[in-house]
Amino acid sequence: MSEIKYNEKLIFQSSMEGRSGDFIPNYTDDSLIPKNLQRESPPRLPSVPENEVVRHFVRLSRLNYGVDTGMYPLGSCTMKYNPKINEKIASESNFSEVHPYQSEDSMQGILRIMYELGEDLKEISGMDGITLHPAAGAHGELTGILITRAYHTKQGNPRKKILVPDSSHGTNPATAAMCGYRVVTIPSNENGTIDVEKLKKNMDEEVAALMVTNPNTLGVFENEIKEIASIVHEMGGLLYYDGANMNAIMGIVRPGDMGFDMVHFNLHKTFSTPHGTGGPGAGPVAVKEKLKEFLPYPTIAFKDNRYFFDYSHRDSSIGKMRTFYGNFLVLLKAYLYIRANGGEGLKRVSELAVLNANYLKKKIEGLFDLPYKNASMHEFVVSATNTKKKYGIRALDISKRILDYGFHAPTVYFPLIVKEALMIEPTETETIENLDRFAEVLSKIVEEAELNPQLLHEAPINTPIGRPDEVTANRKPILSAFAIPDKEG
Amino acid sequence: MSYFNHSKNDIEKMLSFLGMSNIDELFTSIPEEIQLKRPLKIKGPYPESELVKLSEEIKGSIKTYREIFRGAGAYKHFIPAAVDEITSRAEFYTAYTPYQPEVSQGSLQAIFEYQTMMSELTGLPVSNASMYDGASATAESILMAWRHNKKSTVLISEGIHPEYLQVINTYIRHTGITVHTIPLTRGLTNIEGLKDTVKDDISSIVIQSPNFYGNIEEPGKVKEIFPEASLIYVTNEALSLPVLKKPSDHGADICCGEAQSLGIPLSAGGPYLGFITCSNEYLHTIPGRLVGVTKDSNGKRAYTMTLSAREQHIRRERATSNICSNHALMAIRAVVYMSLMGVTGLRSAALLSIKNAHRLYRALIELKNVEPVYPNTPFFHEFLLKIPLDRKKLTERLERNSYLGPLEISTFPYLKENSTIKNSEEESLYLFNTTELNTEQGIDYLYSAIKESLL
Amino acid sequence: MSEYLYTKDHEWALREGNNVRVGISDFAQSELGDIAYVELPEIGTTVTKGDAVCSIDSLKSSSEIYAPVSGKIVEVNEKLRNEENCEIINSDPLGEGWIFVIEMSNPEELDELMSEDEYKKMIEEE
Repeated sequence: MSEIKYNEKLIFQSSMEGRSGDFIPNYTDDSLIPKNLQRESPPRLPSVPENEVVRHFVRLSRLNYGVDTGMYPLGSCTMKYNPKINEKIASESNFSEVHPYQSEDSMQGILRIMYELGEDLKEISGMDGITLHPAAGAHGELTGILITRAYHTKQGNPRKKILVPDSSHGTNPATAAMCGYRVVTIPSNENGTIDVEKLKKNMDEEVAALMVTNPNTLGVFENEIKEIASIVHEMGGLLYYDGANMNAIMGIVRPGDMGFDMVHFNLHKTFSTPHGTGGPGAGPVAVKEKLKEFLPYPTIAFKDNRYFFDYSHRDSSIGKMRTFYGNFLVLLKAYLYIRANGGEGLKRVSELAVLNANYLKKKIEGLFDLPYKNASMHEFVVSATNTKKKYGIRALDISKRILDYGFHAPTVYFPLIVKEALMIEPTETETIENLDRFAEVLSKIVEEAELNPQLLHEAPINTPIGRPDEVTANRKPILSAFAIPDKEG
Repeated sequence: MSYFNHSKNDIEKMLSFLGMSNIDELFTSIPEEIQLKRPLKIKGPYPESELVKLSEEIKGSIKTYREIFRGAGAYKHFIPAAVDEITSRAEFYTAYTPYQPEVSQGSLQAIFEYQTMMSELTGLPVSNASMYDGASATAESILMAWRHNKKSTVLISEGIHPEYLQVINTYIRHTGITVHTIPLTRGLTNIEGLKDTVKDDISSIVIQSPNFYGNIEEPGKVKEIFPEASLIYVTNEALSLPVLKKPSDHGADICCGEAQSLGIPLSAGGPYLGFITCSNEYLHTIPGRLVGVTKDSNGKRAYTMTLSAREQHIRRERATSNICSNHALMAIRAVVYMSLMGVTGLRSAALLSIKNAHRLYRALIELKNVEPVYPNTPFFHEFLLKIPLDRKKLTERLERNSYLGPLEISTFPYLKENSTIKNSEEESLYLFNTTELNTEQGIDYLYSAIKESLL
Repeated sequence: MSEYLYTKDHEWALREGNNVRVGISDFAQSELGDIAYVELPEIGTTVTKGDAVCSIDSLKSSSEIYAPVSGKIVEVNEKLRNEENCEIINSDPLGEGWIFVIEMSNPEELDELMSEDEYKKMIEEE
């Protein structure tokens, strides 16, 4: 990580009247719009010449860590390498200049990419139908649970509850609530997997679905999944697969074969599309045959040697989740990634993701508490309760000190069922050397926890800023430059 | 092409460290009977050179146009080269969500600047860090207002983009919220006609401006009739904001919509940039991430995500929304675009778009049998004309020279529920759009092609 | 002997005639961390014992506050409307950090609450 410590001024502070560049011809005649419909005063946007704008954002970028800077062992995020050829192809005008309302004839290539991607994702997951609309995993979950509601409504009763394991990602219960369902949490057993007995007790005919991540957020495979599927299906419920952890299983096992009825994919995780400081990603949803009629419209179809937008199931469909057809440029990158790997390559991806995680886990054995002893897949969770007890050093302190060593911290305080959790997922694109180095860093930090805990409380010290005062940021939120009270830089 | 870098030796070494001899031993926790026993049937692997060949092949069946005369929620505006340049920097596009602010000040400050600019454009003090697109942003805004005032009727103008209406219905169908659409008169939301509507249970009133047909609305009039309800001002042309009266001056409580015009290419429909801004009253109910400014332990200015307790990872089922990943990189495109163009650039883009549209309009309505659907209604850069046309002839003339003509409403699959269009003839209605990128020659050519194709 | 009564969800209840003043326990405020926002209930709202009345957000968590008894909300701590004052819940949870007052409809419900000693025992066992 850079030792860059400068504070970059706000762009507004570099503003000098009349300095903006001429990217298009200057034109000021506003007489075609009636005066009473016009804005009274201009927005306070900065006027800065191009080279200073570029310098501003280049300097800002240098304050950032990215997966191209170094490893991001963030559990459940699958921060793998973003292939550059995909970036290059996606920026080409043949793809970026297409208007969504062009004729189907002029968009055959676009439709082909979406169609083939859909077919490939169905094959990877063992499902029958697919929508590429959702813009993110959570958007996919929303789509899936709305489909669930439509399905049950058609059966005569939309039902009232959705079950989620206590280890679930926050988007699962949030999605269920957005769809009008009450959330019931199923506890995990001492292995960290869904407690099947408790599930049986809670499963009834008012439960619309159970949402499961597999492997779960502890990185452990839900090996009782077939029984779990039976329990849910016996009462007429649906089984939803949260695809956040799909990187562990491609080519090895398929959600469709595990008994899932719906699957969402995170293309920005498993399928290498870039994270972009928080998005955009894409969260396609694949479904079994009986749910196809509820998919958002249009879907993409292929018949008589032609690709087209299929609106035929419009009457039963849940409707639309967004304008147009999907985050096409993101879909394109995932499509290219899948082609680059092929079926064999995707299986290799999962094998090596699991190998890397297990190697790293064994390398750091003994440094932290291991709350669940079963086999880990592509990620694992350790707990800093030992360092907290012995040295007063929490997962937070450890994560901040990791930043000083040039790595990004792992996921912390998730899943909620583990105290002082550190969730580590190296992904398959890290070399052994990186894994060894990361293990060394963790070992060093635990040593520092014993010999110099104050250092960890003050960490990070090698980053552009130290720990921000989040308390004030939350109590007195300042969300805009013009709301900043003092005139300092 | 594979992106992992394990040699055979590496793998052996690692397996041996784990006391294993075969990679399959890593998967013994998966019950044998569910494991896939055949290879995945997926084309590949393709080395990088073959991927390039594949993309060349696919490009052959995609047509792009030299000039475009349709918008309907996706506008082709000029994007300065520096926008791509900056957002292609690895430190931006390969960065994760800024949960560790100490190593994410670049992302956080850029988003903070974006929030500031969206606030300035709409006049509303709070902006979030992005949503997916204009339609989902509007649906979430309606849910925001509903959470805030707990009332259950929403009035939505029929001037709203038809896809937006369908997305809204998908999002709220099961909530018990009732949607009533407000018809248009002379192409504008008939707000006067609402005077007799029961006012008590109205949660929000949703009006798009410029509306789907290009007409400039005056949503503020709604506040006189429904002072208690939330006014949600929607726009899918963010470049209208530096020219038209500010949404806050109309009395909007929430302004949301699509900011694709701010430096994002057409992209066959996505990813675009949904935005939501609101008054301080809605601060704790707005969905999405928020970036705030504070100080670090050394008193240095620091940016960090804030009010996270609203979000799904903390509130879970009580969250303001389930949104997690957003469209942050698109917001960074927008802030770079706005920084480069400045107010003068943004206004020039908008005013040139308007100039071209009005010029085209005036020329076309002179033609025999061409009727403006909404004569005398002020429009921005889009307008609707009724033209009896030999469609095939026009398409052929335009395709020949690589022009994409107006959008024919009758072939538009989303307008079936729209009473305004249903009540008039569906045939031969065309929605025209121009931007600053349309040329005199292009406009002249379109005019001639239409003239030659008149029935 | 303390007059503070407690619920299993870490609210305290202090009887004042026919009213009950409610806040969160010292244990709860320390678990939540720095309080950043309180979504106060509306005065006049009728509540049943066990209902979620309002919510409290800290930096990293969010909790609902449940009514220890049934009745009507007659007073709220107006100071808490300003987020900068939220820290009084952390610094003085049993005093100035009170949150709302319920006019009881069913005072016998108070008998179902824990005494301070019983509550202390409960949190020790957790």
